Amino acid sequence: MQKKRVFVNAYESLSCAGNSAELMEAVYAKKSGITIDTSYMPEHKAGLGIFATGEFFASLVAVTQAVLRKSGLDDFKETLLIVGSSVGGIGKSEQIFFKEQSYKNINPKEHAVSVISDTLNGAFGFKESRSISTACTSSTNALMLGQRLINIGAYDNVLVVGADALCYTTVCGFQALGVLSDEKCTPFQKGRKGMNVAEGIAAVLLQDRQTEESVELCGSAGSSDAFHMTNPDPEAGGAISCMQKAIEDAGIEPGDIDYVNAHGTGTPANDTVEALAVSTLLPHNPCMSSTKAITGHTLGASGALEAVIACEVIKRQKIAPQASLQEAENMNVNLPLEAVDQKIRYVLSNSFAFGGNNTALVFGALK
Amino acid sequence: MKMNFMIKAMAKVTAAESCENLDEKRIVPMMMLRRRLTRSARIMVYLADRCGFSEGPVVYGSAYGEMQATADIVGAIAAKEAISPTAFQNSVYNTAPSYFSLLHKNREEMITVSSGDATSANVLQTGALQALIKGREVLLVCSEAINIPNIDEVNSCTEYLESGVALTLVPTEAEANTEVPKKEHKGYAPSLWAMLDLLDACEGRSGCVVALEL
Repeated sequence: MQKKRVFVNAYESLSCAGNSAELMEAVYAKKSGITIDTSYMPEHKAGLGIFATGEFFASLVAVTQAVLRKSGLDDFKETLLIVGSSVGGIGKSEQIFFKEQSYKNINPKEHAVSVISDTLNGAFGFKESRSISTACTSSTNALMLGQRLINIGAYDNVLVVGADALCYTTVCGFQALGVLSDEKCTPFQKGRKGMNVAEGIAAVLLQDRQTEESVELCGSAGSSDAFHMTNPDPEAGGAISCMQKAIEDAGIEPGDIDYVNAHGTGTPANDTVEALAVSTLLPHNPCMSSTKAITGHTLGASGALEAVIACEVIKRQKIAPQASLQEAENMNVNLPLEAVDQKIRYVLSNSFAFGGNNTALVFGALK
Repeated sequence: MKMNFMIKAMAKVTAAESCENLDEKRIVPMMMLRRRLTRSARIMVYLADRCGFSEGPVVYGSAYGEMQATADIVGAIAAKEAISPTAFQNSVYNTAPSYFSLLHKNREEMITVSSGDATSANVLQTGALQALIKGREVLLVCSEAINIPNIDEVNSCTEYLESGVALTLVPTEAEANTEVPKKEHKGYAPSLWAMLDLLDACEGRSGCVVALEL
């Protein structure tokens, strides 16, 4: 079967670094959106990525509306919606339970991950929808599935929305795991302290038709570590496997990758293994950075949010610098301290999750 | 777009409260791993075993995910107690297929769907897509495990607090030979109904070929 090509034709996002335009300004200026906060854990400081714009679900609709406006489509009635989210509506359930110590007034439909797609279906009336929840690879897997559905001609338009709100479960849960930093995170830094949990929304429109503004989603692949529920395989087998297969799916060679947008959470385990994976698979040493130093880790939204950054990096032909880095732990990876203007053909974007769930995407400049 | 798929194996399990005799000691001989399994993971590895599947891509689905782990975490926060790291790592929706992956050293793609009442319908669509892309047999599992204290305060959708359904499928050039009528599966969570429809249609038959929407 001849694979149809897949193009990213419109997108918008919201994170603690602002909308997509503000995010890219912050990325290139190395200006973190993280704040040090005690509202979730009064006895512990934590670096968190928090919106300044109020209600999460109103922001979800607004971000999606912005993509519709940019898309040239009249509506989303012929578009498949694929949502990626790890927590869905658990924040609302928490608030009810903390107040009432009872489940009685929790609406199961507003608790589940599918509350995101229900909200967007109510606002836009998509042709169909589905929701993916694989923790921190949720919207990356949504993009992979969207690419495949267009590849085979099942859909012409797929809107992928990654969305995760902050909640007590994730903030306190990561604290319990001992991986939360009480400062702004410092991905790939020697002696780094951990990650920053953040909220984020990103909507990415995939289509089978090319425009002058398109970036191509050329390849994607997933893998499982089969090693541990939260710790990555120290030999990086799963990470290398998904990156390699995504590059193969794109029909290119590892040496064609010009920039890696790393998963780069800032946890000791993730960054050590990811640096090993990249230096092993990509010995030509392309520039790599983690933009989570700017946005924090937006969990299930991060794949779509970083897809937006990958597309902007390609359009601007300007590599995102590694913010908050003073001394790299692994000197075999190329972490630029300032933005780099260079020819960028292909960008690899990595996402790794609990359960050893790994997914990589390859974006390409138009030929 | 519809394509044809052959159903190779099927299994289901259900209980009013808790599924017994899931054969965990044989299926999961490593005690440390067995002790960490959530109820959904126990159901999943049992159903996969019944389907004779250990290697290959997996699509798993659950509308409500890991309810016990979520309840444990929220309860601990409300009580100002320490959160169990195990509860947190077991709280993600992809916990069950991740344990399956660990158990069998399965390094393939594991996708988890959570689409409310449409979950198993979307598992079928996603599983069909994955089988087509990979050109090989894929395991599809959908389960709900909501047997937690005080669930009656909020449960109005199912009499069975634990249930699961599984099948494996492969793409085929053969013509579809089975219609899959939609039914109401009283007592089961609606999130399982589409896969239960398929199991009912194929029950007692071999070489069942169905046309699935991608």
